[in-house]
Amino acid sequence: MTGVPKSAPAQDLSRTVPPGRDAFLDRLQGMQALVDERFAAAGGAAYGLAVTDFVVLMAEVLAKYLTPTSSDSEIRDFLLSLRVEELVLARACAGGNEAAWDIFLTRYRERLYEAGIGIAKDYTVGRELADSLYGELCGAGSHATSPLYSYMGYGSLEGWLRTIMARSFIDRYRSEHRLVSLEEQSEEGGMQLAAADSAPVPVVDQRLEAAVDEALAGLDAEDSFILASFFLHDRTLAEVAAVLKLHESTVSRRVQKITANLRKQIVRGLVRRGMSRRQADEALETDVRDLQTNVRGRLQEKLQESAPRPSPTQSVGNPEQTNDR
Amino acid sequence: MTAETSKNMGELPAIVRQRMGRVAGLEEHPDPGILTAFVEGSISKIHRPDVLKHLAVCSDCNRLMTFITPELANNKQVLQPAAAPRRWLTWAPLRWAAVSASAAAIVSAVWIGQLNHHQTSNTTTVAQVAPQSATIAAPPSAANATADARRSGDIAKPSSSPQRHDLAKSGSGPTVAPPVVFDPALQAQSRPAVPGEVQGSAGFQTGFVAPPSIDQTYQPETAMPQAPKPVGPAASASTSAGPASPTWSVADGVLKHSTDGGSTWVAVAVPSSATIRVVSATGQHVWVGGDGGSLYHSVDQGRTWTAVVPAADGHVLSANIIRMAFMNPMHGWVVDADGGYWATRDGGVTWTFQLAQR
Repeated sequence: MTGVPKSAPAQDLSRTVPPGRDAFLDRLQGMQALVDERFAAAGGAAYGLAVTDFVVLMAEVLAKYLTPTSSDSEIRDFLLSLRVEELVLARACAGGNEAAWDIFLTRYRERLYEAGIGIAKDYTVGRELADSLYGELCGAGSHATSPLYSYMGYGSLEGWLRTIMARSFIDRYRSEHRLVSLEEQSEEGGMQLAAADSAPVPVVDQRLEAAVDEALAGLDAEDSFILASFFLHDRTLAEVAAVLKLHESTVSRRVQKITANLRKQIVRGLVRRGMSRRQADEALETDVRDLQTNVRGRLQEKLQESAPRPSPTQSVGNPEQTNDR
Repeated sequence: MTAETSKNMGELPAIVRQRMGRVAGLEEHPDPGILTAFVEGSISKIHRPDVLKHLAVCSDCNRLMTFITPELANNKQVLQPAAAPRRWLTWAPLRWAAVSASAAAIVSAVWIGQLNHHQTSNTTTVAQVAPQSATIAAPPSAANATADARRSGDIAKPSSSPQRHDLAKSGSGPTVAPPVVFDPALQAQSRPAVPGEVQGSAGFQTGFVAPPSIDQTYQPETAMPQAPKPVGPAASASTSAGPASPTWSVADGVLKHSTDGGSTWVAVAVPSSATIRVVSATGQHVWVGGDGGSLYHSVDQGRTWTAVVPAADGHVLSANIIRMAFMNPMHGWVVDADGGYWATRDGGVTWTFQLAQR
């Protein structure tokens, strides 16, 4: 087999080159054996794919998902995790290769119908979803915006197509049923989850907020995910375990451990900020709604002192309107 | 999550929940590839922390995860629509009346159908679509208009609707036109030339000239091989599940049919002088497409044929048909050599058309 090209073929100059691709082409020069193994696994020769073009494809994928500072072992591990056979198949289909389309339709047609029905929970809608995706993939022909060009071999092609279908279904459902979009939920400088409070932010001790933020920032990614999934997204232990590929009992222990450690960190943070231990415990246990009520109560008292006595129908606020989780 | 469960898991102070829900500047959503790899457990250690952090705060991606994670895709209602108006069918007596009426209608239909079957069992089947074969597609009904428009819109402008997940823009980096070319010369070296091979369309970057045996034949319940097929009509792409299952193929511009799993093939006459290029079969329904927009449909496994002329939006199919697939008797699509994409949802009565962008 031919070696790794030192640069991309001349015909590529007219196409958009992802940043960093040429740097990865250089890196792949030192991984001849790995490149050859991946090329053999991809089976691209059946579609007329040369190893030089395969290397360019690998460099594109690396440029998309890794950084120039990635180590050789990271590059190697990542390349080994790629679904190169499916990647080459998708590219061949996007290029209009008839044999590739035969294989694609043979392999994925029924699976996508099943996936569509699983997503929509409805036979007719599910099949329409799958047909719509097929139409988009097949009707795009071989031009550069074929959705199949977006598949980079990261994860299975079937899973990728399922994800595309699910996104399409959610977007379609949102437009038809007027779900609240993420844009409608966003606020200045931040974004709220749908389940989070929509009531006005109560006035709380800045030290408490800072201590809580500091403790939350100290959680690692998996602990943050577990905590948010369980307490904010209402996932069950089994669901969290399924996502993380852990046992349910493991997740249960993790949740208890995370919450216990979080409380300790927050209390320590409050103590560092000048509170006594007792004050810190009390501050943490204070319900936000109580704080809100207290603030409104204080405001009401001030209004009564400075203004005429309000009529019985006027009220500053209703504590019952605050959200409760 | 009930309060009791919450206590068992350790109480989380309200202030903590509130702060968890606030994110300053949410990062870009992970692209479908990364999410898929995460769900399948093949995500790199490099990407996993960022995905977890994002999923902790993004309700949209969490919702998506529920659909694409098999263990989460249960009966749990993920999408909460706006409150629907009360319908009259919510009144229990009317509901039961509707169920009873439906059951009676079904029983009547089955009984009448059986009566008709006994009366017409010796009658030659005539293609019912014949009178419609030469007509321009009728305007779609109001019930289908929205769905068709949506389909056309989706196909024509997959990014025009305010979707938050643009395929071309998912993740970072520009949309890339791939530099990889599938070289016909290399294809010729790796596979022997086949006499009478059907040429690919000039409109596609085809690096592969499909041998006539590899055509788009579909048998819904068959297990398909996963590699390119060898030459010859005896090795059709649609290897049947059993020797009795009919198989269709096109060789040298001729439609061929096998009922013994591809061991023997019989030529099937199609009322067209045009070269036949592609075939798609599902059950009793067989569709063949060829040069000059020739499209024929049979509802009796090729015994009789009806010419179909797809037309929509002022366009009429006249270019060579190069690809076709019918998933079931109703739904299918046809691609012509000019980049036209024709789709039908009613067995060829009406069609939608979209020209592939170049």
